[in-house]
Amino acid sequence: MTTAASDELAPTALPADRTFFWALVALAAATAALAGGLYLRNGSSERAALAAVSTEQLAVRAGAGRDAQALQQLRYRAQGGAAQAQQALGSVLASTEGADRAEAMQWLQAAQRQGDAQASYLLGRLRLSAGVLHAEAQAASDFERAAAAGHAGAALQRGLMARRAQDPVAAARWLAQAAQAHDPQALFLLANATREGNGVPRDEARALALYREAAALEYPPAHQALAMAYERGELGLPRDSEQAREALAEVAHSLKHPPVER
Amino acid sequence: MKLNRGIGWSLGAVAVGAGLLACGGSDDDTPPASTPTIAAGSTAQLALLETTDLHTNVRSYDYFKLAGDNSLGFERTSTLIKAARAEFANTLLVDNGDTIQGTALSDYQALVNPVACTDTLAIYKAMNAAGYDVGGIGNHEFNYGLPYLAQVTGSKFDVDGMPAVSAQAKCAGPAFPQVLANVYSVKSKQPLFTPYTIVTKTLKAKDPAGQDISVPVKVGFIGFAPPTILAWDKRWLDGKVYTEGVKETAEKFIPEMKAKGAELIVVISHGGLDSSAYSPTLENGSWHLSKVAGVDAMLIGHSHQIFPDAASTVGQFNQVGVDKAKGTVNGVPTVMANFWGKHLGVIGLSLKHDGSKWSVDTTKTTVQARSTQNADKTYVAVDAAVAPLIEAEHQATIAYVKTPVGTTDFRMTTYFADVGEPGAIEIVNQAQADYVSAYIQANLPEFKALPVLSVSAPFKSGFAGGADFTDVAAGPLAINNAADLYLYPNTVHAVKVNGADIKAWLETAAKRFNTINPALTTAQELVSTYPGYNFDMFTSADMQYEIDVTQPVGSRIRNLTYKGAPIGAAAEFVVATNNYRASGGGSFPGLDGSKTIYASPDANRDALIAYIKTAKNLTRAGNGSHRSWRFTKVATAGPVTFKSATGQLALAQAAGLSGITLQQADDGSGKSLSVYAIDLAQ
Repeated sequence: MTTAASDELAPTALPADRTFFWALVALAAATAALAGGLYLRNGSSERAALAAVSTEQLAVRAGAGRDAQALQQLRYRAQGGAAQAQQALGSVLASTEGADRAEAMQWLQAAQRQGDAQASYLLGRLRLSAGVLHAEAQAASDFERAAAAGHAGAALQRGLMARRAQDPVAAARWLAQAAQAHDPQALFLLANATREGNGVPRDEARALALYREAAALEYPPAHQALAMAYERGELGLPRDSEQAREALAEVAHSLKHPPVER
Repeated sequence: MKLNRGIGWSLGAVAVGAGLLACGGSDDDTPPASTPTIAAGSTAQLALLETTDLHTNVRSYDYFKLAGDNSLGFERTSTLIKAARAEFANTLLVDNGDTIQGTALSDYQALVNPVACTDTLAIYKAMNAAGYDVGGIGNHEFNYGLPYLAQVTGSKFDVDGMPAVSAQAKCAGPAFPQVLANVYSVKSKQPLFTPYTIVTKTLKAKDPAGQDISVPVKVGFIGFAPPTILAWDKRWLDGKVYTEGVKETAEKFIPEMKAKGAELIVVISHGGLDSSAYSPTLENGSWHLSKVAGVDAMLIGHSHQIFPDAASTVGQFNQVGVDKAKGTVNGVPTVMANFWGKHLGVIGLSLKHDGSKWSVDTTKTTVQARSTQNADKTYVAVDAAVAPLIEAEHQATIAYVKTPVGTTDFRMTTYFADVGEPGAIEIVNQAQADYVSAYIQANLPEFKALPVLSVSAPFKSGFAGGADFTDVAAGPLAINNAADLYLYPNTVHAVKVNGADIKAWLETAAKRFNTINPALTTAQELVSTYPGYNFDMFTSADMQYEIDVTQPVGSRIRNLTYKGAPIGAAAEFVVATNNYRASGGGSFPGLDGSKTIYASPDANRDALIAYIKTAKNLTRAGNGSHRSWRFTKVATAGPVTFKSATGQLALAQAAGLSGITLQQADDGSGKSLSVYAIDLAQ
């Protein structure tokens, strides 16, 4: 798609009235070059500007923005001992192709030691995906640390681990904790469990409310569950093919932007 | 004049192009040659009109049903716009974004028969004619990639993967400026679009003596998209653009806008309200934007909701600082106009001039989301001027949806899917398996060695009566037939599972059947109330199993083999399915999203269309006769019955099913169903 569309963008000649415009461009370029020169001689002011940028935004610039200066600034902050910066740096390194994975883990562990919940969560995810020995137990402990600090994604992951361990009661408890913090996947899975009476008492009205909350957060399977329930008159809903159709349309729409895992 | 946006803004940054930036307004907004003096105490009414999430719904039409749908479409919103323009002396019409994607029309113009550089996209044609003043950019604008977005918006993007800006053509785009402040190019570290524009609007106002005067107001518009676009459209955006937090971006640009003369600041934020702790990656940043100094009004979107609405139970409108009756967020008038043109947002501002600038008399502000639906459930009439603007595109899309993509030599139905007929299901499984195999071979070497299987279900299996079955006639297959064969708007997902998981999966699917007592002499109904869309099945010669309906739920799957050998509990497979099932939909054991190895952005329906296009001529032998499962043979003392549509027995015979007989031509439900029987001993 990208290639095909690029091919269509054939170069065209500039209209004559653009001359002045391009003169401005040249002026802008010259100004930018001058500014660049000033920057080289005055790097401290640039660093001062970066120093005003939040650690979270620095992480976006260093990651998605591929910005080496932002990465460097993140390193300074991490080396200075800031837990959030250590976590952010570990996170960026873990998701950067070719970056040192061991270094990523070290920074995340440093942040975890300072009680950073997101770092614990990411460590758990990394340990599970790496599939190393004893990873499960360590990951469970990471998730529990983060969940205890209120991290919804960690509670969800701990709940998924409990599901895999065939412990529906523990799973439902963790999912409920994540659902309490509005995690859409947890809301949906807890709705399923509540509908089936799997680890929690069966309660269709409660299941419906949970599906609705997950749907309001644009979780596509929740819209679909509601569509099917409307179609068949389940979960105490009246049969309503119009509502079913609307809900299915929301599936199509929300699938283009499902909730992003943290 | 219209500048290339990226460069235009770069100039602004070095204070050369500042004057140029303010020229984005439409024709009637041309500022007077010299700014007249406006007497202190002059007043004016100015209404901000918002559309959002139009998703290319110009007509009140459903392209998959090939039928009208009065509940949506800009041709009806346009009627509301005209009414508002008659009502308010001064209006500015603004679109919030999520404009260029979302119907078969958009796919047709983006992918099937790409709109030419010299042509304006259909939705923008309609918006140009409606005289929009400003547009925002939503997340769905990125769905077709950056080159397409540049083309249809008449922009040039200085990003990796596109030619140098000087080599990019200036294509036809909307006739109004589009603003987006928080999405930046990795390459240039500059905003992708013009971050803001200042529209000089000539107001019909009153001087302090009540005399009519015509005087200008400068309204600054700044646009925001959800930072989460980086995840959603990663395949197009990775390494090319990044986002800045909406709050920091607003705090940076709004003072600049004011310095350039903006008297009012309007935020166009494609995002809902989230009062949780601020983060620069927050998806719905509008609540935090309302707290930025200087914001006079917010036009928001993205959530497909209505705001204000005193009765709303939506979580985001029941947060601290949000007045869902008045339509304010932390005191800032805010509107969200639902989606698909169902509503028009209207913020009525009473302006007063203090001799140096206009400001808003906030005690008189009104905020409404006006519906195209009347109180009696009918809909406002269409604006007849809209349809002719895009008639060619509309008809071409309908023709596209009806275009044959292949043929079938057999009638593809689900009338007898419950008793093993795979005629409408196998093609879906083939398409899914083919799609996932190709992806794994190209991108996931770690799974290359695993067999790729596929499951699907009879989505329509008679719940609502004899008409509620899939039934695609033999002959040509068109795009809309794909929607018949694949009912749900799902995306392809692949899960890695083991033999035990597969057995549990099939045991759950086999809840479709009641437990049959062979000794009973009375008739027993075979099919339970368990939904047909959860009756997942394989349909390949490699995969074989029996369903023993004499056994209780959970103990019915027997003789499960792959390529003739029993499947061990630990044997690993990849199974192609859909996002709903892979995420835990239907509560299948072990499926909760954590086994997903590939979450494709592509629809199962599109994978199916692609497969049919390649296969061209579908045959019963090749695409509709492979049964993976049979009932375990058992002699029953009485009949085992099931319901299907009336008059279809010949189809069972044509499909080669043996032992099916007609018991009762009319089941008495009045829903065109007959009672059939199956001899489980055959």
